[in-house]
Amino acid sequence: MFSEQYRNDMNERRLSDEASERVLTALRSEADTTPLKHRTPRWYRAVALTACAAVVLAVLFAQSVERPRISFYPEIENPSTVTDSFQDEHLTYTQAFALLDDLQMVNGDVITESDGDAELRGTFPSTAPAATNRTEYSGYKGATGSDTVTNTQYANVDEADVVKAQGGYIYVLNRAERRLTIYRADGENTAVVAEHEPTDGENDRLVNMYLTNDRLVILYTHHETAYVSGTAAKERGVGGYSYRDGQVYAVIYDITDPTAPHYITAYGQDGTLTDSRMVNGVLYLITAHTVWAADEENIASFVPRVYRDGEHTAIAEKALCAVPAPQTPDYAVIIALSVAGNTARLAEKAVLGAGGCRVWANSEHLVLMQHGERSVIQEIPLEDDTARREYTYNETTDLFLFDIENGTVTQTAAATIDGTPDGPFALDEWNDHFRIAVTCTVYHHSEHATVTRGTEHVTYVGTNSQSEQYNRLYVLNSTLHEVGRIDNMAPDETVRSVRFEGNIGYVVTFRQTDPLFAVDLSDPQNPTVLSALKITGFSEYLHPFGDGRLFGFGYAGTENGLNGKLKLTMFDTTNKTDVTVKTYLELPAEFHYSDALNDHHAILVDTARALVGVPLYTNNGLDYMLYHYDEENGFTPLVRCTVDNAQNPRGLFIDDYFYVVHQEGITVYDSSFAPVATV
Amino acid sequence: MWQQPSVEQVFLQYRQTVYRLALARLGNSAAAEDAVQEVFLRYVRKAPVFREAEHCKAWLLRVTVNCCRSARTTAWARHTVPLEDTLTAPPIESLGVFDAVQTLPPAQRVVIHLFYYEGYSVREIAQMTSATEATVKTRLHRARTALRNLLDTE
Repeated sequence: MFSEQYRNDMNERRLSDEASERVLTALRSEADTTPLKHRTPRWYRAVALTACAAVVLAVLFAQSVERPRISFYPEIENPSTVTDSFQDEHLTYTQAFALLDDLQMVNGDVITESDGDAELRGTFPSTAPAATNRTEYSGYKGATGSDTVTNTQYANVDEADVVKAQGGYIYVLNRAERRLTIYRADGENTAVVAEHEPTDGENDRLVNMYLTNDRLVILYTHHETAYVSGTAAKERGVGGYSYRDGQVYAVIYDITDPTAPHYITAYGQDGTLTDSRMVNGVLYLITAHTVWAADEENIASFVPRVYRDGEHTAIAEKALCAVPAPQTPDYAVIIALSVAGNTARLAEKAVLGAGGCRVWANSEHLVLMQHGERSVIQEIPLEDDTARREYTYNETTDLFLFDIENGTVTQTAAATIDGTPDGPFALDEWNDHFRIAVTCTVYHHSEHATVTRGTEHVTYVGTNSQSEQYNRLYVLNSTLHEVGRIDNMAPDETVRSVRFEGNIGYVVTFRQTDPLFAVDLSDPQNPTVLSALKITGFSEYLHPFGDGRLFGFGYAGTENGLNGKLKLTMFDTTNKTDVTVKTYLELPAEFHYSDALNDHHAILVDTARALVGVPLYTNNGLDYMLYHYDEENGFTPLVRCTVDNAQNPRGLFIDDYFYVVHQEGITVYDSSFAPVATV
Repeated sequence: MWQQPSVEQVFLQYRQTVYRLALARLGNSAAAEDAVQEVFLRYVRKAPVFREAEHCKAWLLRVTVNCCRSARTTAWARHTVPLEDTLTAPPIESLGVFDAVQTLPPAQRVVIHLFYYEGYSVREIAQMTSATEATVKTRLHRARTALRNLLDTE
């Protein structure tokens, strides 16, 4: 049995005593010189020195940058590949089963031990039915009722979050306590108006929510534990194993009267929550559902189900499709729901083989991005009955494109590119073209083997592994065919942040210092690097800040690498061939981390008021800082709000007041940023 | 309540755990030793505080995965000691289990080791390797298939 052999083999291998002694000496020496409370950055410090710090290079080139490649192996062509057949018609249930069978998905007995069905207590404690007309609430003037308060990638596409606000009310989801709290935002008189815990099931979670006109939608997950035994267990080499699966529900409430929301309905779908978007009152909910043990007689065992108010059915055949070459027995389930009026499920799509995807979407298109790899294996015989085996693996990304206009979900095109994107901001659509910035990683693994003639046996002699990294920007057309690219940007570095603004793309890469590339994308076939600004540290998040200005939030550093601090940067982008740093503020060393480094919802960038808000961790807890920006003085701190250990604070403006909202309460500031209330 | 031990005690307790994961990932003892040192140096620098031993172990393994990602592993250049010194048993005639795992791409080696040797679940491995659960499942699935083909004992 593999697992036993592997364990036995591994147990024979130990760190030697000499090596242990060496490490202990190094640790003692480090402990003597490093003050214990000093926090270093997560990234390792590079050892070698590089040349200079803030050098502006105005580079205009269309060719790849020359660099010495360590290459023992023949150059491998790596074009992007497109599969047009992704548009084909739907699968039948029989075809879906056959595909899953090919994937050697586990056959066996599945016993589901669920903690019961999702039990939703939909109605808030108020008994009065909701008024059909919106009433004027005394004490509050001028409901802003504008678009989302969430910092989203696109202004017209909302993203779910734990804090939302609308019509003078603030809605807060406390995940740990599974509680929704609604506040009336009224300056000094801000107060809780409603509180509700929709569930107390142990395996149920409130994740995040949307607000739209008169509806509140909470995304809610219900987990199940299932056990696989029998032949499936033997596959794994143990007596049996468990996995978690379940459903995700969109729970819809009417909030015409925010002090008394009432439950309307809930739509569910199989799978774990991948992502969601809201466009014009249509919710797109994407989950990943794995098939563990299919039974041809039981459709629900290999096709995802959809749920509504206690009823469920397997997704219709016409909603089934498959990616061009499925590698995994799972589905991406994409459902479009209209949450207004009588609510309705507008469209469904189950994509076989796309279960592990990340999501990008604008108001017209949705792209699922899936990690993959492309490998090449060569065996080169040598004279003495030995051979060199060479393995090369490229990390790739599959892109699956869907049209989602007007509540439809239609598969359009699929492509595979080398490299992996940093996140959804690395992809954008403009003028019917898609652009994506990726980091390409190639692993070379070589082994020298003695091949006994006439047999399959190999005596393992030695190995040599290397990896290379380089960065690339692709331009693809509306059917995902490649029309242009920039290759080899900043070799050996990784893309850390990307922002596209019309015909210009800004790409930050980093290994020790940070080039900020400005790329001209106006000609899709000839993307061109306009400038590469080398600075210390790097930005994890970029945000256009008005004419000729680009804001960056990220890590600070020196020529030798990061220095453990964070910084705010304002770039001057008036001349794209000469992007410079207008000003920056390195934050005090006590702030060593921020959620905004990984989650763009955590940061507030208000260009109209010229304010930036970020949550910052200290060794004692969490503070929410608000900074003002102006051209003369740069960034100046305005507000420091101690949030302690509460999570996910958000800053938002309603009329003349500024609210720092978190899971335990709200601190309110007036227009001069003096604190006036804590709720 | 678990009392977090001293740096030396943490090292002595978890050095083999870290070493074996690094060895599985990097393939040779020299590189794995370097990784062990880097992992525990980061532990000294970051001075993390844990409530339970399991958190400490998971943290160390996670840092090991990160350190290994950036390691260069040209063993030939670095050490003159041949690789056989990592085996305490006599040379293997047929493809051994460790060697078979070494033919897998690095990401697959990591999940195989965390799954079969350390016994972590797919979800836990996903958190440790900053991947999605689906990616981890894919890697496991491919690794098993490749290993099944290579090892005729199954």
